[in-house]
Amino acid sequence: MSLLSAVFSATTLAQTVRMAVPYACAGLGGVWCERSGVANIALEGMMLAAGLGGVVAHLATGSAWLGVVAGLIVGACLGAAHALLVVRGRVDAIVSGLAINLIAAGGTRFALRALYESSSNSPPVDGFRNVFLGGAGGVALLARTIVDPLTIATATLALGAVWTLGHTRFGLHVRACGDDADAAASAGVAVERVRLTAVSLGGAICGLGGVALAYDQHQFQSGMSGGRGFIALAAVILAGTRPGRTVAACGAFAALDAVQIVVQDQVRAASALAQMLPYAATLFAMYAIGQRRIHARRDARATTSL
Amino acid sequence: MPAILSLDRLEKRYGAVRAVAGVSLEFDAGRVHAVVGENGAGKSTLLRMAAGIVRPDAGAVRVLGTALPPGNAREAIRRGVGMVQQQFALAASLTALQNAILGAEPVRALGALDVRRARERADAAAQEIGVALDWDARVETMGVGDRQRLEIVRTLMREAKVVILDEPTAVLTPGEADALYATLRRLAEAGRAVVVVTHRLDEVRRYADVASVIRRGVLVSTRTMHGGAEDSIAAITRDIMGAEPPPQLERARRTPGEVRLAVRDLHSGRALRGVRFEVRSGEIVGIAGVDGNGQHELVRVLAGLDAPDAGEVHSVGGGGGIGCAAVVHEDRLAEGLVPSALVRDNLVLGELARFTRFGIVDAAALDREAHVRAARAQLSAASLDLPASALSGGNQQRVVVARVVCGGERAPVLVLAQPTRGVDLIAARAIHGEIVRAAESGKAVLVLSADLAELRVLCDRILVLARGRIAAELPPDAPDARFGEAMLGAPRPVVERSSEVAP
Repeated sequence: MSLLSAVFSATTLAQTVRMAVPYACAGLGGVWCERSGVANIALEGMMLAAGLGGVVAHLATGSAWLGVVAGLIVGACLGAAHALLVVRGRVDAIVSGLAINLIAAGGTRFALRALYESSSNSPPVDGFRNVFLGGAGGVALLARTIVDPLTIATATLALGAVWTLGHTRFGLHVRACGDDADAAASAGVAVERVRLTAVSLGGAICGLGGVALAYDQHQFQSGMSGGRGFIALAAVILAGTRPGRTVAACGAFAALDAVQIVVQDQVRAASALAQMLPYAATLFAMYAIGQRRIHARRDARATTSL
Repeated sequence: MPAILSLDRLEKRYGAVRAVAGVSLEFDAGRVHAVVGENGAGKSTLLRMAAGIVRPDAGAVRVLGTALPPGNAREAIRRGVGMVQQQFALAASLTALQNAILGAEPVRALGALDVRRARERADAAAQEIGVALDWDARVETMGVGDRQRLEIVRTLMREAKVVILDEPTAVLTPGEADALYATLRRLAEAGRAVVVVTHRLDEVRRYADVASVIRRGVLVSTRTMHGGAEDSIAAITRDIMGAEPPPQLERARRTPGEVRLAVRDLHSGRALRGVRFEVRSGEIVGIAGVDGNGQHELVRVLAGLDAPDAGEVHSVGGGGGIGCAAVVHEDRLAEGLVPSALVRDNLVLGELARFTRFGIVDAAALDREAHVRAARAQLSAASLDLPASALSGGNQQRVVVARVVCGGERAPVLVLAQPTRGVDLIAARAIHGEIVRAAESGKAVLVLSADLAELRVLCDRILVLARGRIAAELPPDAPDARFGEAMLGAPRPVVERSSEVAP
């Protein structure tokens, strides 16, 4: 098979969708946090911790659905912790996010050892296996990926984010808090409560991404988020914190990943380059945040009257 | 009948400072009540407590006789106390309508916003005060006047019985200020209590029914104004200052010499769009205009802090950039002082090289110079050993002005941005004296101020800066209306369609 036809195939598309799900969940989670005015660099740690939580619950109960619920809860708890530290405790959001990432990285490793006596991975789980759509071809894989409950959930969450942010009271409050917390407060919006809710919700959605990642691999592996949280954060910044564009940007990153897998046999260097992606993307996100802050300050000053 | 809003022995401390020390006041329906006092007298804090934005340390706020829970803005709004703060409380990226309904949104099932009902309510409130706003415009694209109208509309949508405005005319042109007070009169006539915090006495004279004076956190007097008689204004002035006011500066004729500062076709981002003017030796030139029309950027370019995109600054005897002009920045705490350093050091900041020999600071020489400057700023010698942050705002500004005027002796040009903002009247007059003396000694002086009255006293001619351009050059005695026109700038902005004010 030629390189080109390998790249533009149903298999690549299926891989893209498959990989986009964790990215998109983390990205949507990031959107909820950023929009409410709480920076969240802990998407990475939230994914990781929720992924393990999901796998543990799945193994303990035998139900993939209960695993999803557990992942959502773990994500929401970490989100709530981040929000409490930042909003109530006035801890710097970067510091809090860093702490959550470190605790998640160490904590999951510790839990793996304590629960399964392994430093690298959990026992295998089923996840959502589709028993109706069999077959080995690229098209069958694409069909299976699209009807996967987590893919459908992610798409629903994306549409839900667009609608909720744009057309509901809660969405308006979240945007007002992110835009100008003092203004929102004096208009009678309960800023702390809105932020706590939004960041917990964001954490839960991010947690779903972690579960999707683990179910996709049919096990939890230590450090399996592999920088996806940071790449998702880059997508959020790139998309100007808009949910639809964030999902699109996540799709683009996923497509890069998918193509990389397809071509890595042909081009050895591609794999090494692809491994740099998370770090380059993070650096870019930081640069973009800095630029946005500078512009925001300049605009605030240059707001001409009349 | 009880007053709509009554304040009962309100107290507020910030650290060691008693910002408000037991003030009781009543506000009645149908009246425009001015609360006046100098900057820092505590009047904003007092009204912010009334609106539940600041929690008082002691005392109570009552609406129609019932006490409000302290420091609860939501409850105050619900009970009919609305406040338009000096820094508008609007979310810039949201639309006018979204801001108008924020915190009290009409919703349908699932918390979905009911845009149609929101619009009806907003239109009804806007109609009451006779304004039309573009509801779909984002606030960041709206002018200051429209933002203020939006804030007033919002308080009306919450069925405010009391409307409090903090320094509402600080950002308005003279014409807009008249329109605002016409609006406020309508609100009062509809049975509301209107409270205006201000330090502008001409507004009190022209528009207020009642005037209360706050000085150092204490209520000094409350007067019913009878058509703004001059003697009651004089009495209010005495109450504000706690003493007879120092004599008004006499405007002396000065003969300008050669051109010292020439600014040609200056461009900087969107803020400056082709500014050109000249200032001559011995001349004081004013730059008037509403804040945010390029003043900040102009000062930064003149100070050599920012490079312009195009155009040049030329100063005779100094070259360009740093050193050509001695500058008093508008924000003294951010750009004028090191608050934690001693007053002594702040007085000679940036000139250490002059007091250094072979890399060693000559403390005695530095001390002598600091004493000279302190005397000039009318500061006691004892205050030299205090940190600058311990001084009052007025005295801090005197330190900055003394340093710039004395230290910039070799600079041919003196630039002062908002030299008396937040400064009490006595200190302001002293600073004005320094400015005039500098001009008489042959410096070219440029003063930027949002206070037209200040420029009229000081300047030989006044340039109006509007949207990054010099819109007009006017003599200091030109009528308000001409300044107002010029401040609006020549081409009317796009947002103008939404800012017609009905008579």
